[in-house]
Amino acid sequence: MNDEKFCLCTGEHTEEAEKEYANDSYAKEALHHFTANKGAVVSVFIILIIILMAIIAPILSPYSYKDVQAQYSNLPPRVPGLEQLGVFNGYRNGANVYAQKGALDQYHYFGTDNLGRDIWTRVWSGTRISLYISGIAVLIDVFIGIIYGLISGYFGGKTDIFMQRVTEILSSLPQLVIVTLMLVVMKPGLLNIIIALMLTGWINMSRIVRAQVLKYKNQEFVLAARTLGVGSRGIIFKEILPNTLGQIIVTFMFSIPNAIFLEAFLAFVGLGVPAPIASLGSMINDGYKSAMVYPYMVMAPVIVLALLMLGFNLFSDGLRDAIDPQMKQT
Amino acid sequence: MSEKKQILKIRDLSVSFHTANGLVKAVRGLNMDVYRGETVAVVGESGSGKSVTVKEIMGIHAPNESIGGGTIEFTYDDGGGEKTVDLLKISPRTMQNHLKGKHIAMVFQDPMTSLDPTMTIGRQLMEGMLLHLHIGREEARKRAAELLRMVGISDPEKRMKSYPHQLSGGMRQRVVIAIALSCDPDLLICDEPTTALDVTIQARILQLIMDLQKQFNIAVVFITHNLGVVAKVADYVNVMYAGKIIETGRTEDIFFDPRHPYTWGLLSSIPDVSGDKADRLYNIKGNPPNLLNEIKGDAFAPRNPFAMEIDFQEEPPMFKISGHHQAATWLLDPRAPKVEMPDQLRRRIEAMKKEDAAHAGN
Amino acid sequence: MKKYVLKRMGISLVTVFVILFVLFMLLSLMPGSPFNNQEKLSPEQIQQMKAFYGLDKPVLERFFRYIINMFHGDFGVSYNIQVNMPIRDMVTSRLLITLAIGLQAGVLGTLIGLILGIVAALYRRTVWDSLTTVISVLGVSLPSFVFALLLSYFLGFKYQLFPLLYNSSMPMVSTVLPTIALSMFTVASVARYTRTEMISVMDSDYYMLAESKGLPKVKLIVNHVLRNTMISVITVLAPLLVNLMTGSLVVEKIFSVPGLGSLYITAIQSNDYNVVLAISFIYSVMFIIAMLLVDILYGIIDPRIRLAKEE
Repeated sequence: MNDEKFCLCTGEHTEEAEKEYANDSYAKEALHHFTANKGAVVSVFIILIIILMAIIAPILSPYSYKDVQAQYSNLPPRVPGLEQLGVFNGYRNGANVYAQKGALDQYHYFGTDNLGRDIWTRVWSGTRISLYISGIAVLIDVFIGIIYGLISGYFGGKTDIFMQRVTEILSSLPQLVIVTLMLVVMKPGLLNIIIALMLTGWINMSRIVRAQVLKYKNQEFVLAARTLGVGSRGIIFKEILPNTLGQIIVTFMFSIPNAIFLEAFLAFVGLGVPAPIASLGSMINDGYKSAMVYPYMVMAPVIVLALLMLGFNLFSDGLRDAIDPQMKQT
Repeated sequence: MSEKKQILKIRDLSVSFHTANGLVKAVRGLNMDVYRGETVAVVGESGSGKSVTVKEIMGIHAPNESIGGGTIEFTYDDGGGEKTVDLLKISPRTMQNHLKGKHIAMVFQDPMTSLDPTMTIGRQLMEGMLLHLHIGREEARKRAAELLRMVGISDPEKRMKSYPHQLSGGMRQRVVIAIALSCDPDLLICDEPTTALDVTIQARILQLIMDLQKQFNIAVVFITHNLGVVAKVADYVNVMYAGKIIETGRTEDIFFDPRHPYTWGLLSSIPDVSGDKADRLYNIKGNPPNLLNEIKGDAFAPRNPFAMEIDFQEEPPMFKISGHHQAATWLLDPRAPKVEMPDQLRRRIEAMKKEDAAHAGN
Repeated sequence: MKKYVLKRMGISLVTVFVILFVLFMLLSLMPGSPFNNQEKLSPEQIQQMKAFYGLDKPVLERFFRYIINMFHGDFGVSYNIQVNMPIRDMVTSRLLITLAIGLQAGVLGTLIGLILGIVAALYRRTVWDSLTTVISVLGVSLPSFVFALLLSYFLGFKYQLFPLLYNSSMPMVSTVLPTIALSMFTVASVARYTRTEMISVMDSDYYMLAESKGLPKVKLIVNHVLRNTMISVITVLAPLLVNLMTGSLVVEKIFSVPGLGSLYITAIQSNDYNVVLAISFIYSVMFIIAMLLVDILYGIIDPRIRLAKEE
């Protein structure tokens, strides 16, 4: 009876040895890390909501970002529903400003500015412009940075030394000065702002790509590919680039809030998009002068800008932490 | 041997780690004994739990670790007579201030990263002495130079002013060994001390550790995955698999009379230059078990070519082969069919025995 | 070390020349002439003024004269803001105010950041750690104008603890709010970086070895952890300088500080190119000097660089 268990078994258990390491895929594990990070999950929602609002709010709003209604200037926020609760009811110093100005049929969720433009509409179309500018600038940065980093890191030698000197000098130029001068010469417009942002943004990306290339280019799998006769292009794009993708995405995500900030900053010093167009920075610039009297004018763009930057930073943090643990192990 | 003094006694130690994928049971009921003046090797694949075990002895705890149970009894003399403490029970503070460095010391795996890059060798070496030996700076400096000379570093006075990056890997490991020995420890733990070094330097570092062990008459726990190293340094060998010791015995027992199929596999997989060309290098099929899963029966069973039905159902106990040799495999059960070690291995052991005898005759 | 310092200085010098060249190019390429904003001038008058400002000489000669002038601190005269006022007189007093606020913010920010980061790393997974994380995420994410506006609204306007706008009759008190607003980013980044670095040092092999010597915690932290952490933290100080600079513009504007930044903005908005170029040059030189100092400091602290290749 018991002795039956003591017969040598042949074959029937081999599958158990095989299935032991049906491990989680890289992506699944990274996702798990990411979703375990509360800040990161919240940030996804913040970013999505802001992007969504930037797309639909200006379309749905009855006002346009440039409609001047001088008679309805400086109206405080008024939101239907909430006004019954005594907040956002259009009152200032105990008087309903909407009634005073004969605008009781209007609802400006964030109020109006000194020209009577609807701040709600302006904030969201401004967000749209800010996202558009920073998004395009960062995408171009990434592109230039990857190419530069790949060439510099992969070919090494004199090419690398030369290219490194160039970035070294470029990065010791203060970005602020370069961007400002650029815009002083070119006059701010959508395209010129993008060019100015792009001018210095790629350096960081190129550094990171180069470091990654240096790390991978002498590893066994690359050497193996080379021995098999794979050309430089194949090695760069098929072997090295996929491995550096994680780092590239993280750097990309971190550059977005930077670009958003820089755009806002430029607008704030008077180098923003030209007048009727709103961007978050130009609205803050317009609103801050009257911040002590009408704080809501500057509050709305400041809060959206803050949330946007917070969202992107938290998101990038979460992304890096989700990708990093695996990177450390290799 | 006249009364051996036990220094370390580990009973039923189990350690787990909480990870994103679940609980990893890294050590599952481990027993181990270490006596003064002996070198005990712990051999196993990576992930078998060797390093975790020594880290428990050293009181290096990871934040996500939990100790399932067991005891680590350590016997030492702090000047006021002999004492035995359970290293898992004493406070981290006592461990840090009274035991580490003074009674238990450790040599780490990678000498390239185990020295502080911002501090001179001399200072790093003197740090422990100034603290534990209650000696002055001058005396400590003298002793440090002496230690460096002992571990084979020439011109120690000059070297003490160097920073780690100015030394080669082998030199750094010598420094690490000197640091470990600086306060006359009772127990020295070496965690793969030669793995990161060049083959030519490996042998010299091993010889150094052996010489110093004899000279100071300390106990050494030697972690390695390299059986060649084990044969050279160890008095006792513990073979570890999936968080357990599966065979333990004197070095001769393990090398000349192995009983566990896993040990057979390990021994057969050593490349042998003198052996028949026809011999194919043996390898153990499959992968070590995933310690995330509950292990039923013998952990080695799925990879064991001699597995029996019972191996998949019940965990084998330790079977005594002799007073000093034990193995945990059902093959040693009287009910089991008689299974011999593979022929290839038998031939190899015969050759080794002859060689050994020849050495002994010299 | 000597070689390292020389190399750094070489790069800095080249950078200064690159900047001078770029500035000069811009000066010659500026759209229109600097006299656009004035009343209509006859061609003869423009010619006369060009001769007066030395704009009729060959390019190369003007470039060398330009370099020499810049290094003498002779930045030319303002065209628009205060006609024919030497720029040097306009910037000197402002430079001091900007430097003072920048220095205060930098030093204060670094110190507070270090303390927060160290506390967070030592007391991981406690309230202190969470607090530091919140502060550092907010500080890194929120642009300096958010802080500046909040501070000026609450502390300056509502509770009137500090002057709302810069008041030259009490310069010290006036710099309090600008300094706090400006230092937030530094506090946050230094805290965050210190925390991560310190944790990674405490995870390192050499920390394990030091710990295995049985050193008490205080000694471990002071002798091994802090020094290694500091080396890494110094490397992030340089990028922080950039932020201090952009931040100073914003903060000076919001608090109406009569510093270099607010003059810069005025010059940008009134197309006073000469002033823009002069301040760009001053900013660049300050930045380059600061970067050089950080690099040298790094070399002094890290023996791997200090002792590299001592032939």
